[in-house]
Amino acid sequence: MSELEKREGPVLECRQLSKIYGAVRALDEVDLTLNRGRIIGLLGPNGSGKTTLIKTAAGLLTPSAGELFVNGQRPGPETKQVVSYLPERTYLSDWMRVEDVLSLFSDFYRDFDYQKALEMLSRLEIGRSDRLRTMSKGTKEKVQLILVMSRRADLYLLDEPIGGVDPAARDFILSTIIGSYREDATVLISTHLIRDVEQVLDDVVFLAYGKVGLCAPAEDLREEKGKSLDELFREMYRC
Amino acid sequence: MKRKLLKYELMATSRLYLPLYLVMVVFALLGRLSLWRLPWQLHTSKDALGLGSISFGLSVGEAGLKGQILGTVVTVIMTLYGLVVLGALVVHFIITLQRFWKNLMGDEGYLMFTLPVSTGDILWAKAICAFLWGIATTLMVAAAILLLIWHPLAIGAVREELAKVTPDTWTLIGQMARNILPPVLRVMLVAELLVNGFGDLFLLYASMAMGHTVKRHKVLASLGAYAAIVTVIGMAASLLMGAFLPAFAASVPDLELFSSTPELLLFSRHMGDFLTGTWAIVLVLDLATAAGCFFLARYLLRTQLNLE
Repeated sequence: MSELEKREGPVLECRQLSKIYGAVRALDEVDLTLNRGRIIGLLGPNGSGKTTLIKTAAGLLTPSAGELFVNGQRPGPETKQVVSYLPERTYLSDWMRVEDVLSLFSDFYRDFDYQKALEMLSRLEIGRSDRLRTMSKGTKEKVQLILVMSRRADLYLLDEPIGGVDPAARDFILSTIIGSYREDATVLISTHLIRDVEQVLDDVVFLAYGKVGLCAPAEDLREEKGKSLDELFREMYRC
Repeated sequence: MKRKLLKYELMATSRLYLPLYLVMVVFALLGRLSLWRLPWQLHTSKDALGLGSISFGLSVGEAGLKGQILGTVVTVIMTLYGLVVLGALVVHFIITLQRFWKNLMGDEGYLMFTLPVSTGDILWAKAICAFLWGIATTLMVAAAILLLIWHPLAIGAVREELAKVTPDTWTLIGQMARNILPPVLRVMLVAELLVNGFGDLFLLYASMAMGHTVKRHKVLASLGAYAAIVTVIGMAASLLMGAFLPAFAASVPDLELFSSTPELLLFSRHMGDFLTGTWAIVLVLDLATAAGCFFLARYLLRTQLNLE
């Protein structure tokens, strides 16, 4: 398959994808196709399988059954070159300086834009020689987001990027995401804070109990149901 | 990519090893200073060489307060020296475990396993780095010991003893050494250093990867996995050695039967054959262990790892 053909197909495709932990089906025969150039909300309550789906797409988990393709390929070193993943925790070593992590990303990801990262960091008054050890958790998360969004990836997988941060930081995170991604790239944002993200979403995927409950363009849903995504979600998954 | 991984692994570990080496050098110098340079120690006598000089120094120190203080200082320095030098190997072992556990199975694993590199490359980079630091730490320990005990008197005494050996005896020793260590065995010994060094690391990695697959008590499970793998290897070694060793041993004549030079040379040749055969089994076994543990660790990290 040529590079052009790969970029023309769906960026992410799951076929009967299941992930089983003991007796728990974290993902249960998920069929899902994500197209290019979209900001997609992966919405669902806690324990619905959002993180499992994202970790599988990032190549951190192996499916128990079914298949998952990124750019038509099974997760591996090649797909990791086009997937930019932000986990829900800080993964950078504390002993590193900002310039060390910039060099690391620059060394391993050929799509990393060093200059863009520097500019974004300087806007937050984070210096190249700052040590991660001296930063607050929130600042570290911002550094991580900047690193992830400074890549010109095909698929951005952002796991709970606005969870546990103050409203001002949420604005920064969302504006960074919207202002940074490549137009033909897809951004998959997992969150249960639907109200905060719904205005930026093109499509939504509702996930509960490891199954896809709904997958549709956000605007169509709002018009069809006459409700916000947040209201719709609360209605669908009321405890 | 392997080279880049190695670069970052060396960067991450050098900040731990270099201060350790610095401390080793400082204590080795302090130890040497207290053993050989303090004025209250007599080091003109051969009897005062090595550790003997400590007891001499301390016994002199009992005479006066200054001596007592110096004696205490020497004791403290030598104790710390011993702890630092021997502790260096323990620290190396702990760093090796910690780098794998924290960097791959902790939060940092989220970065490591999403880099566009293969799991095999990650394992190799970790192992090569740990192997290099292992060699460096061993050399540093040897250097720290030499720095402490190296003295013209000691060298002179050794030279005197060596001078007593006749040229004929030297020739015989050389011939026997060549017979006992034929070229193929020398190559195998070097290969064994590499295979065993990497095999031990992959064994640790496989044990930790196995231990990490259980939900709770991961450290305990890793220890259990280590014990299980070592037991299996031990059983395989016993079976192989039991099958081949008696035949090799039977080919070596009894040393007591020989008294002349030709007989000794013949014995050394048989001994060389025996060692070559035995070492070949050890090498094959260690190679199988290293490969088995590498593939086990790679499989577990690729398919079973679930970072929390």
